Amino acid sequence: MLARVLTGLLMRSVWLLPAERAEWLEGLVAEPAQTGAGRSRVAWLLGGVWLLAGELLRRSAARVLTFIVAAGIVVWLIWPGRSSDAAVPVNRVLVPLLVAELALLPLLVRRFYGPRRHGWLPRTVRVVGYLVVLATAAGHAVEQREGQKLGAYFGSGFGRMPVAANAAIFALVLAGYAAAILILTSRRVRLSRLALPIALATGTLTGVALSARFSVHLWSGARGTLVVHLGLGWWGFVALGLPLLTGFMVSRLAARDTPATGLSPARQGSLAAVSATGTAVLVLAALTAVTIAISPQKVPLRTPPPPPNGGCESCDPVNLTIPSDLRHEYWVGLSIASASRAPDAMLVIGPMFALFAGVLGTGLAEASRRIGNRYDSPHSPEPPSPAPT
Amino acid sequence: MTGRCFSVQTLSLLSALERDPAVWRHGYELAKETGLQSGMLYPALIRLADRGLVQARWEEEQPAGRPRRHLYRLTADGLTAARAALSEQRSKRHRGAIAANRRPARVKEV
Repeated sequence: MLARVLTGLLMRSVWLLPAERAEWLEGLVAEPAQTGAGRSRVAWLLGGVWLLAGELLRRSAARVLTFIVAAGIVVWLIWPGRSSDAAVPVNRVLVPLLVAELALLPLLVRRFYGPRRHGWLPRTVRVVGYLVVLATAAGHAVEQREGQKLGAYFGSGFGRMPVAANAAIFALVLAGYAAAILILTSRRVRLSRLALPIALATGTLTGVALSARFSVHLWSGARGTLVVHLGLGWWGFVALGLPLLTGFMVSRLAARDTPATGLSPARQGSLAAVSATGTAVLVLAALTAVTIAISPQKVPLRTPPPPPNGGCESCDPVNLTIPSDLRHEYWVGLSIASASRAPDAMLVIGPMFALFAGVLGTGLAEASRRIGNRYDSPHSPEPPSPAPT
Repeated sequence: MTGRCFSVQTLSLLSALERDPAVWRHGYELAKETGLQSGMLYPALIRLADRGLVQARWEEEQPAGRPRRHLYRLTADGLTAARAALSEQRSKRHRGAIAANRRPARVKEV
């Protein structure tokens, strides 16, 4: 029974190893027919488990170690806090869950999209991407802890959504980003040489520029939230302008330089457009969350709305009664807890807009290519000769 | 390539493979001959194959009633390295034995 389970486990794990190693494991598993039944067969197969574990660890020791250290730091950062803080128990459950999810994702993605592409760029993208996702998770958790100090007083925390639901959605979105990073750099997603560098470079530059503006906004002590400060122009550029440009550029380049079995230029353009916006909003979310987590006292204080028709002065927008001695603390907490709401929302909305803009950009690239071909083609009509004078 | 490059387990594996270098051997047979567990045997075989000292292939024909086996034997380089390492090991043992014989026996004081 145990031997059958181990055989099944090993045969189903063979794909975890590269082809040149997988056949050794298959060779080991093929032997038990000779080893006899019972304990000797189980011992033989346990040797296979040892071989598999050793190969996996040896091949990715540096990455596994980096991940363990980074994940350890994240859990260490989010763990402290008082039980009266609504975000603390939520963080203690959800962040370790997210870390476990991030640890398993590479195996899952490898199953469907193959191993990582060769080269330094996909490797760097995976390592840096994972670190950014972990930093975002840690920053967001600390920010919520700082903001929800009074949260337990109001039940499940304040804000429009309970802390647990907010954190769970955020963790799912981050896991989605991690999966996208892994898929984009896997071997079965064949892109032209410049598609990924263009998307990542434009996205990172935009994300850093937005974050720099946000930091200036915080340090200058200006009032108002990030949404107001950055203005519609910036958000519009991230959601529409950036993917339109990236989609157009990548689609044009991919038409000249695509591996034989790769994705079509239009698909590459759309993928690059979504990736560029995804990168920009992830960088923005990470830097915003980390900045707020480091200096929550710098977050501009939201002021209570004026009482409608001379009504309740001690009520917040969701009609909770706030004791007068907690009123200042409440508004400080609410300001911090909701400071990164715009970048967090953009993590979800941004790529959706980007897909539309990307499709538009690739359509424009396709149209411009057709127009170009009409004049370059040997069958194109001769330009009219000048009239004899 | 000297015996110093190989562990005791690898040397016993090389010795088993060197005994009949033209014959393809399978894992269980080598394990029985060397007394190594599969968890030690296969990593050693993989390391030797990575160094170009062992070659591997699958059985060509599908035998009835059991899966095809993975087979191993020494390459030409592997045979040279194995012979050098084993002869060095033998001469080391020989020198050790001579040194032990020359050592004066301790006289018990009465």
